[in-house]
Amino acid sequence: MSGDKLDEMALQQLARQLGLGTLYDAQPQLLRQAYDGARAMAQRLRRPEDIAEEPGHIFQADNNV
Amino acid sequence: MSRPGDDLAYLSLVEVAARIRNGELSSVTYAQCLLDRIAAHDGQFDSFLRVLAESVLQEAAAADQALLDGAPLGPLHGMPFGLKDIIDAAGLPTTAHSQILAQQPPKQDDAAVTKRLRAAGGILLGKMATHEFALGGPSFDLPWPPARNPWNRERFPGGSSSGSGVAVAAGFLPMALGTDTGGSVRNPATACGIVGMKATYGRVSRQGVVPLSYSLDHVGPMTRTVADNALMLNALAGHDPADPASADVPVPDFTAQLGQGVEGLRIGVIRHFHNRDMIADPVVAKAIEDAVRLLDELGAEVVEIETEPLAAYSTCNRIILVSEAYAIHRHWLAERPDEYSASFLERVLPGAFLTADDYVDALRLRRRLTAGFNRTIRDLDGVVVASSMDPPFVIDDAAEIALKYSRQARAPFNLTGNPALSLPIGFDGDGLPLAMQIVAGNFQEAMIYRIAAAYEAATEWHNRRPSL
Repeated sequence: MSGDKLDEMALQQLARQLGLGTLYDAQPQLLRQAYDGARAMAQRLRRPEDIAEEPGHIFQADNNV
Repeated sequence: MSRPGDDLAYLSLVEVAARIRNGELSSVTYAQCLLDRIAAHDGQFDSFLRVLAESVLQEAAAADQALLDGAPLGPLHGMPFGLKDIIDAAGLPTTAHSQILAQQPPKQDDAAVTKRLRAAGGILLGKMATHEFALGGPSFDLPWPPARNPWNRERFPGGSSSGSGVAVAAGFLPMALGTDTGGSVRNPATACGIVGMKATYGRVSRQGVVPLSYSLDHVGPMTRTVADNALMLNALAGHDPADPASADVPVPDFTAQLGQGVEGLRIGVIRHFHNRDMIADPVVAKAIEDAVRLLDELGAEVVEIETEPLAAYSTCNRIILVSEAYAIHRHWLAERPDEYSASFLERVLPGAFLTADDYVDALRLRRRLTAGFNRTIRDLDGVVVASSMDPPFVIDDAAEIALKYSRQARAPFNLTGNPALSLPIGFDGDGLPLAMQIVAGNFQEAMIYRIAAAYEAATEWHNRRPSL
């Protein structure tokens, strides 16, 4: 998410776009906490820099073996 | 303190199965003993969401008749079991301990694991309390209360497979099923002083289980002894084409190496998880050191190993878990948010604000961490690692929950998929259980059981009982 800071109006709009408007209206602090928590978590992630590093996959052609 | 009924209720699965098979004990007598015990005590511990008193006695009577008729008997013949209530059983609703599913109609079919336990002779005794959808909790704002620790009902029993852990530890059941996405079989096993196995990803089918995180979910057996756990995994393991992650690999007899001891085995110990990356309570650290010393005295070669910092695994696991969980719950979160518990919302909602690149990068890191961990343990038979960093905390203390809930070293093995077992290794000064994990290479569950059984045979922790 570009720029990890989000003002309250933007958070409200984002929550509505995600279908979480009801929750935002009832508990705006919960959505703020979730947003800040998610972005903090994402910043702690040690992202691989080599684009050749592929993800692990759930699906493999022969049932995971 | 031992009370009437304790002796039978606390017999091992292996022992009861043998007695039922040779006619020393009827399945009806055993089931009635458990039902009486549940009726007398579960009001304090809330481990069951539903007790199937009538059907369990009917099926137990049929099991006794099958024995008289000389019918072929499965290895779990006449043995009651419990299901975490995110696992389907035909004729019963699966509530996930949530208002969201509380009014669901009964399921048409058993989950694959339910079918397997029944095919082995098991009898479903009840559906067990869980954290809401295996993620929230302990919660006091749901249609059912949270399960409580039988060693001290004011303490957290671990989660999310809380009811399963409590019921096995309390002698209400000889075996139960839990699920484990970030440690949820091993957490209640640790907190309740029992044995819980998260087998290799793909070893046990997840078909018919409410998903929390497709790529991290496991189903696992919970019992009071290592041999019981191996016997239960024998019934559960095997390829299932209905589970897209199911591994088509040979299934050994998981009891085959029990009793072979640890002499000559090379066992790694990862200390930095609990003494550098996250500082464990001294009583936990000491119990792990005592256990490692005992394995050494029993003839294992114990070597200290290092892997990536615990936080690298934990963050990666959490991003994948909440991203997948949010995708599963997005629709209900939009339409029925007020039906969720506060703690579920708190844990799942960050998933709304993780992005595609966060998720993909976590999956990329996952592959690197998994490969690295398996390289590190390549020449080892098993690895000892901490489970919880603290003894069970007070169940309704929000500050303690916030502080201690995530202080654990179980999530790395959901991420890597390696098999990992929680094993009791003592008690703290307040009489609360302590545990360690034993981990091994993929599909090496039999070796884990071998190491765990050697430790168990040399100690008495598994013979202690909570005073209900």
